[in-house]
Amino acid sequence: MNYLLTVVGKAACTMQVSDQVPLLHALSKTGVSPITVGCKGGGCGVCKVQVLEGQYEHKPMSKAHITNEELGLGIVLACRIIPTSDLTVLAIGERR
Amino acid sequence: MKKGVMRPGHVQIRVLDLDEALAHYRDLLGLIEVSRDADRAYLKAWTESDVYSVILRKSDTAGMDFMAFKVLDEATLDSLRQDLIDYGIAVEDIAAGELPNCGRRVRFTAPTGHRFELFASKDQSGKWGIEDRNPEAWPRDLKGMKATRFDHCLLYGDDIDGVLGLFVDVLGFDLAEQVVDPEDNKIGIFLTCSMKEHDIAFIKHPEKDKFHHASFYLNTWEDVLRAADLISMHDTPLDIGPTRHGLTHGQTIYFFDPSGNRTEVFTGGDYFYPDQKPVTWDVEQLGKAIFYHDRQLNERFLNVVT
Repeated sequence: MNYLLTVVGKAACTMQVSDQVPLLHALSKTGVSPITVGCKGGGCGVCKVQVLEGQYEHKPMSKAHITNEELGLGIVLACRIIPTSDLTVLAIGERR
Repeated sequence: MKKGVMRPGHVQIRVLDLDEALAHYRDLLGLIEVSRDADRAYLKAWTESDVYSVILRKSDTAGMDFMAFKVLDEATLDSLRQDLIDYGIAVEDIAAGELPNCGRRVRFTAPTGHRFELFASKDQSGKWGIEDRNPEAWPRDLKGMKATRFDHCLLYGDDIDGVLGLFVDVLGFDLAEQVVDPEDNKIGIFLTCSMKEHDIAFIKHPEKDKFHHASFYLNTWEDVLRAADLISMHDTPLDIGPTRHGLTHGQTIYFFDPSGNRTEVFTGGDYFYPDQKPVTWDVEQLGKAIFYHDRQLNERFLNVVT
């Protein structure tokens, strides 16, 4: 099923996203991702977001970019989270 | 001037999940899985004589642990070790067997923060899947892109002049190609210890010790196009390509492993003899230098590193 993604901040927008694939992978297929697309594997850190509201599962992310403390604050890499509810996120990665 | 460094010997890449990484390097790229231990997998490309050239290490970060060059013999290893010390580079001696089937290694950190190793001895298993005597053209059971060899790495770091001095003056590499800014400062350097256009390359970047890609050689442009097809079939994250570089003139495609480390497969490219002057690209032509057809820079290619 699809969930509603609300991006706040500079690239504010709302979009439908799949619950089947990582958030960034769904966004990148639209061709107009509001979150910077990097390596899509949790290694480079450019798609860093803070999840302000909503639930998600996550795959391993490089600790060079996401510390355990950040993880506790909902700061994650968009390429490694899979939504399990509607999400509101703030893009905080490097906007190139 | 050549000082006995022969070729890239191995690269150890950090991955977040070893099984996912193996699906990339073994099943998609087509390397041969040789062995595994608790947190590492060892692989080789089928044409290589040494027992392995790629080590995947499970870690909580992505990137490159180290890259090693194989030197002619143990006496060459001793003399290069002393040359490094005389140049003011600290060396770490790693005993034989610390990596399986590999002799003693001399490890040092380059001015860009990357760790390198030299070694002279590693067990040789020969080309995979064909005999040493009266060999067939290729083995029948290769997977995926059928990568033929681990070719080079491109690394990002801050002290390009420092690393150039180390590789040329101490290790005997030649500068085959360079990118320079209007003040003639070096932005990129492509270094060779062979007839290849590059065995290692560096691009200037504000942070130390960043990994741009590990590259593997394919035999033909058709193989690069087939690699592109496989990247789509596997839904593997694509960076850019298939295209041609201006730098080195290789035909190429870039994609990412499941931990975000970039992989290149390429074919063709120029050759190098030691009497050639370095080829120079002006930074204003960087778009064409990197992507000869698009002639436009791709921000992800320039800035996404592990």
